[in-house]
Order: sequence, then structure tokens, then C-alpha cells
Amino acid sequence: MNNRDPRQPRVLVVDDERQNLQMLSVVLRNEGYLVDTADSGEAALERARSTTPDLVLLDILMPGMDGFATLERLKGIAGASTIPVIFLSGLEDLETKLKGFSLGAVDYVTKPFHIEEVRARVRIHLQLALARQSLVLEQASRLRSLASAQKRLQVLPSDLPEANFSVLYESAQEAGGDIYDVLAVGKGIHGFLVADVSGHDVGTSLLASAARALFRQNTGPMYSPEETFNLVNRVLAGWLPPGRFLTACYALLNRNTGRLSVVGAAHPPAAILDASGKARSLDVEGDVLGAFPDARFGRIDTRVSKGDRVVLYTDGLVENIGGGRTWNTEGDRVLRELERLSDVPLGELPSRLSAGLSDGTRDDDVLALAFEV
Amino acid sequence: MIRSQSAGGKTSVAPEGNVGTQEAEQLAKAMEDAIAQGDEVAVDLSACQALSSSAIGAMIACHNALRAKGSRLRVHGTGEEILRLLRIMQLDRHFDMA
Repeated sequence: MNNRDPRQPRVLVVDDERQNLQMLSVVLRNEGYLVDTADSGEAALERARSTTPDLVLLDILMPGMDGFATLERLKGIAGASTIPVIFLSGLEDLETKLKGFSLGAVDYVTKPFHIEEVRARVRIHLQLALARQSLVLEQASRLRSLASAQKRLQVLPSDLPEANFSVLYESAQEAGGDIYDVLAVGKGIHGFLVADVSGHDVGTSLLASAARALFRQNTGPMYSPEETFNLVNRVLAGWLPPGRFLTACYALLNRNTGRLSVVGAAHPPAAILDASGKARSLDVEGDVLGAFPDARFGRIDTRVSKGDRVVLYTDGLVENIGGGRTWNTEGDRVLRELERLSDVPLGELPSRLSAGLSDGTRDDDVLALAFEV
Repeated sequence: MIRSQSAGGKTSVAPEGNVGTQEAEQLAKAMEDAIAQGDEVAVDLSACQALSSSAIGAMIACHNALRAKGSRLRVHGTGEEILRLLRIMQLDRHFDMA
């Protein structure tokens, strides 16, 4: 954001149709925003350079430079790379949306517009942009490096030794839908995410990497874990195709205070093995992500001590649908296996756990992430 | 295997056994067909042992399509284990659980 009065944010509206420009300008001015307009990608870049908007509404289908190309160029302009961009388009297909998100768009509004929706999305993204000023630059660079949507950015234990974690990820096929992430939220504070996108086709891995980017965008010191889930859900519910959803478990560990917060979205529960070798499950209720606009996510807070270990996993670790086993009946088996493995080095724990729980008939991704307090 | 019966504007879909990814596609198809002909949809789980996440996705898609028409997916005959799963996933809050 700039030095202007922050109570009057500047919105740049880009559309080649004069009617749309006019309508959106009126609506947004009436809300109290300063509004600039541009009728082409080239004009938009010019405007962005000279006025540095706080948010851009960008049409995709335009003659000459289209919205995607404009966004890519915009991301290359110093000072403009972190401006939230909401795409406007009549294109409703998933691939278009995914492409937009992988290029760094924060949201999507489908034509014909519903005025209330445009207002709400502009408002929420301006709030978010304000709230995460300090994180924006970092996020933009991470999103940019998500050059190809298929390519997953995986954090390795050696990239973030202070997080003290290890992970096992085995993809059943090319189209893997499991994701994990480890984030340094602050000094001594780390977030650990494990999620599973439903479905097993090529679209699944695209969704998975887009979802991972979304979690990254919405995680940080100013968000509580359930706020992160609410924000991610709000965006996902707007563009996931019917029948697609995510389950997820997010653990936020504060080593300074010894507090662990866990939020769940219809996902297998985190398991905790304390230093004395006793395991317990952190059951937390929550809706699935991306299927219901009014979803609710439960949170559990617990005290942890040095040496305690926490394991997050996806259903593939324990499920065997053909054998009639779903994850909800397998929690105790995970706890007993964890107790049996209490002397194993952290680096080996995920693979030993997987080996101990496998019955040799897996046909799903297997993901297990362990961290030590 | 998926049994599907339609009469009087209502379709009942009954998946049997363990509903993995492939069976889930048939389930989704049966429910899409029911919605396409404007039917109310009920899922009978009395002969169902296990639901994969794809099967649950098919049910959510059907439910949301019915929601758009002011209705809900009716789910009945649910055994204890599956009921527990639906409860943990809070889907009992959304579906019409008979």
C-alpha cells in the first residue's frame, strides 16, 4: 500500500467493454473507492505503473494482451507485484481458473456480475492486502515460483531445520492429490499442513498445487488457524467443481509458549506421542473445505513439551476401501504403531509408520509428516 | 454395484459393498441422471460397507445440486461405521439424515 489515506483504497478496473467499465466504476465509487479504468492490458500496465492501485479487477478475454499476459507483466513491475488481482471473466472452466491462480490471482468473479459479489470480494481482498502487508512480498515471490501448476513446491526438512520435521510422500499415480507444507510463521512458530484433494485424475494434482498456494497466501502471524481455513474455504467454494473438496489438518506449533493448535477439516486426526511414549489422538471436528460456503472448522489447543512428537497423515496411510476400511476406524491402530516406534529417530518415523501400517494393498497416495517439539 | 430406482419424481440410489473410486463414478453418474430428470434423490446405504472420498464427493455434488433447487440429499439406511464417518466429517449437518 502507498502513503495515501488507507481509508480510500484505489481500485483499477480493466475491461475492453466500456459498459462493464462504467458499471463497475459506479458501483465501486459508491462504495468510497478511488477508481481508475483501463480498456486494454497495455493501458492497465501503464496505469499500474503511474498510480499503484491497491487492487486490480482484470478481464481475461481482451483483444491484444489478454488478462493472463497482463497479470504476468504486472507481477514483473516493481511495486506492483504484490497488488491483489481479481480476474473477471465469462470463462467458467476449471483450467482457466487454475491458470489464473497459478499466475498469482487472488480470486475470480464470473460474468455476468452480481454487484453484491463484486463488492464483497473487493472488500475482503482489500482487507486481506492491508492485513498482510508485511508478508505480501514474500508471498508474491513464492507464487511466482509456482511457474507450472503441476510442479509442487515441496519444503524439505533440510530447508527448514528449525521446524524439526520429517515427511514421507508416496504418490500412487501421476495424479497425486495429497499435499503438505511447512511454514515459518514467526521465530519459534511453525505451521504444518497436510491436505488431501478428493479424486484421482489429472485435474487433482492441478487442484492440489493451486490449493497449496492458497494456503500459503492465507497463513501468517495475523491469521488464527481457523481463519486460514475460513479464507481458503471461501475462495475454494467459489471455484472448485462439484464433487471436489479437500480434507485438511493444520497444526500450529509455538515452541516459545509450548502451545499446539490444531484445526481440522474432515481429516484424519493428528496423533501426538509424548516423551514418555504414550500416544493420543487430537480429534477435532470440521467441515470439508471447498464444498460449503458456510463451513465451520473446529480447533483444539493443547500444551506440548520438548521431545513430544506429532504426526499428521492422509487417509491413504491407513485406508483400504476394497477391504472395507476407512480412516475413521483406524485411529487406534496408528496410535499403537506410534507407541511401538517411540525410539525411532524422527527422520525415520514417517516411513517406519507407513511400513508398519501397510497391508500391501495400497492404491492411494500416502503422506505422513512428523515433527518434534 | 449401484442400484438405482426412479418413480414419481424420486430416485433412490443404493451403492453396495465397498464404494471405491470406480464405483464412485457409477454412483455420481446415477445421481447426475436423477438430477437431470429433475428428481429428488435419496441414497440408501443399507447395503454399503465403506465409502471412499470419491463416493463422498459424489454425494456432496448431488447434495449441492439439490440445494440449488431448495432441496437436500436424503441419506438413509446408514450403518454405524459410515454414520460415524459422516458425523466426523460433519456431513450429517448438511445431508438430510433419515
